Amino acid sequence: MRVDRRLLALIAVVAVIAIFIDGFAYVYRLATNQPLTGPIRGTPTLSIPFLGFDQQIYVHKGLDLQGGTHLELEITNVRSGITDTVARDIAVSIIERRVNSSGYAESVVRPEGRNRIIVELPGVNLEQAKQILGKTSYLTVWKWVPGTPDATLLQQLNPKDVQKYPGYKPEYTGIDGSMITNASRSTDTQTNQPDVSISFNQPGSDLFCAFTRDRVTHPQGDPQNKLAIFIDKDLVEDANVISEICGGSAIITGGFTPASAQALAIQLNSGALPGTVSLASATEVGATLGASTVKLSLLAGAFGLTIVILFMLLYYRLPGVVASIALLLYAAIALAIFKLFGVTLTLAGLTGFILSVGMAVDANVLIFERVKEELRSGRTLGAAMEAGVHRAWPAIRDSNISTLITCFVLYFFGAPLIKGFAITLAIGVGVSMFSAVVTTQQFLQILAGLRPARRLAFYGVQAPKAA
Amino acid sequence: MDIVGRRNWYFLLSLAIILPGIISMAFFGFRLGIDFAGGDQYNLAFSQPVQATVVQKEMDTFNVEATVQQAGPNGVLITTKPLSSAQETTIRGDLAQKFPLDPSRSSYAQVGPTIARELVVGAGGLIAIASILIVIYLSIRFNYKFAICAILALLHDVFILTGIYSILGKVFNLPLGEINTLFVTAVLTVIGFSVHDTIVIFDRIRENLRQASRLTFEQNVNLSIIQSIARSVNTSMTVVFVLVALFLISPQNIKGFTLALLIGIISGTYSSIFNASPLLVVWRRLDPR
Repeated sequence: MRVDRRLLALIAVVAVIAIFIDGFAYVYRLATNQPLTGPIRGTPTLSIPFLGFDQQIYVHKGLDLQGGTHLELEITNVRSGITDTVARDIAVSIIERRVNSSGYAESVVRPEGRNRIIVELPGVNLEQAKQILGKTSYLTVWKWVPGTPDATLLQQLNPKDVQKYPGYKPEYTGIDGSMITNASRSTDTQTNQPDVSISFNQPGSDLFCAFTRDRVTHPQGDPQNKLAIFIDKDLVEDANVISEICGGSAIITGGFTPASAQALAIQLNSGALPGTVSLASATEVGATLGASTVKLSLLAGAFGLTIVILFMLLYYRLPGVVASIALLLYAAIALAIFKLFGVTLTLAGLTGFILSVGMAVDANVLIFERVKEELRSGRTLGAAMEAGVHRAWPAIRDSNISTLITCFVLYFFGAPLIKGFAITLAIGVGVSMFSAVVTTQQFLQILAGLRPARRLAFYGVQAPKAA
Repeated sequence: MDIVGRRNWYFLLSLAIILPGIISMAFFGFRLGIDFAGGDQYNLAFSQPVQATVVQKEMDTFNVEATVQQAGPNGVLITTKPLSSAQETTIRGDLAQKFPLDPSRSSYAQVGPTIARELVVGAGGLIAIASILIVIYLSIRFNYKFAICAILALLHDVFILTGIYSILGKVFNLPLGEINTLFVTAVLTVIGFSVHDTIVIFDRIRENLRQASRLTFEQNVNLSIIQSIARSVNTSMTVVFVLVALFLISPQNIKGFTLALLIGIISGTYSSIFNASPLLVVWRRLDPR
């Protein structure tokens, strides 16, 4: 078998891309005129407009590595009339709003399972987190009246929204979220368009009746005909009132997509959470503790890599050099994938990665042991290398596939922490198939073609100690 | 070297470690971390040395079934029954006031009882599902006898690991032997490694069996083990080196995790060489078809 130039080119391209992404923070610093050391401003982002590529590139650290609070909330006693998953989604959007309005960057709020919500708040301690989550968002209904907003109003609401119609200011109607008993997405029976229906309690119904009766006297297009809904400080809905609405329920129509109608219904429900939300679990990690865990992992990683490389060089000689290059390439590609696809690295994830380093080395050990055997049985160098790779392959394939099966089970059925482990291990195994098999094979073929590399002693075969 | 011939000695050695573990698991169970038992755990770091006994005395005033353990000279690990939000705030405030607490190096975790129950069910289930799928894959690639021997070796490693942890946690009462989510991760890692290791040797046996030779099945298996032993030991040694280093430098809260990996990898290597393949021979003798 000869050296495959196309494969070599592929290896080179992959290596260059991986190194570019690994060192992207430095590229970004140069491009934005920042010094090469010290804290970085902004998030390194790579944009290639003509490919439609726009991606933030950095190592996403889990809370155990960067410090912060991880909460798992559980919703019980769900209000009648809605299912658990709907209640969960409503609660997610409410909590998201609370977290975002508190201005915490990079926070995560996502549904988990049937009735759980996971909240991750980097750099926030548990007390702060409880305060943020306990904050209720407040829905209010306003009308537009002639006049200019005063300072109090500008402070109470978002100034941009308050000044939406020059010459008009919002005035509070006395209707708030506590008067809404339910809001849901519905469909207009005549036009088949999505809309949102709301039900009020008795006081809300009376106020809303009086309010719409008054508004409908103004012509459409006049701001005074409009109904303005604010959640906290923001204007979320500014609808025309077509007729007076009495009787406790109202329908908001106008230009909704099914998704936007659903979103508004969820927002209208925001006054109250759709059930009892309780803390199922919480983890808080101090910032310095996280940083020292990262240092520890890096140290272990560097130490491990050094030992492995030393061992490969001493035991396998020249092929050890090939294995070391393959291993470095492996580390570079895996890191690039973590950065590019935003894989969140946790302590468990790093363990998965370190284990996959072991498996990557193992593929090379398997190949080299076979090559040695073939050389001892008297084959030529080129033939021994080809046979070595060929005969080691079934073991590498079967062992890696069984590892991938384990990863698959862990990813689909495991808890979040175990998922992180499964992802990095699976990526590691996948990359090692490329680095330790394809790359090693090509490099060995190059070696076999070089005249000075043909002494068998370079392969540890005639040296009696290694046999 | 005749490994297959001395197989009963190797099985005996495995049993000598597994049996006390099983007895300990049956009679004492595990020292459950809050992940499984539910509860609150403070991992506190102080700016000056603080004795665990002093903190224990302080915690006893709250009546929350607290146990306090020393974690390095400047730290303690406090575990309590599940606390209410108000209790938690009070305790934290009190500790911060009475001890030189360093919040940025501390951590805290709370696990409610529902989550804890799910984890117990989940961890066992995961191991079962993964094992079944691996049996199916290996039955296709090799045959069902190989697959079942590989899984027996895998279970051997799981029992060694859980048994030793039951002994560490309950008999010796060491916090190191605590069973938590990280321990489950370690068990799963070991499963992956163990099967990986076993398959490499099985592959050798499969290959040697295909070649026409005058060797008996038993001799063939022994030859395959000897042919792959250099690779098995070499690979495991590199991983063991890394883990020993990790164990020595890791902070108290993850020492148990690195120790579990270390025990598991050594056991995984042992079982693939001395148990999995000799078991094939035993099976062949009982059922020579």
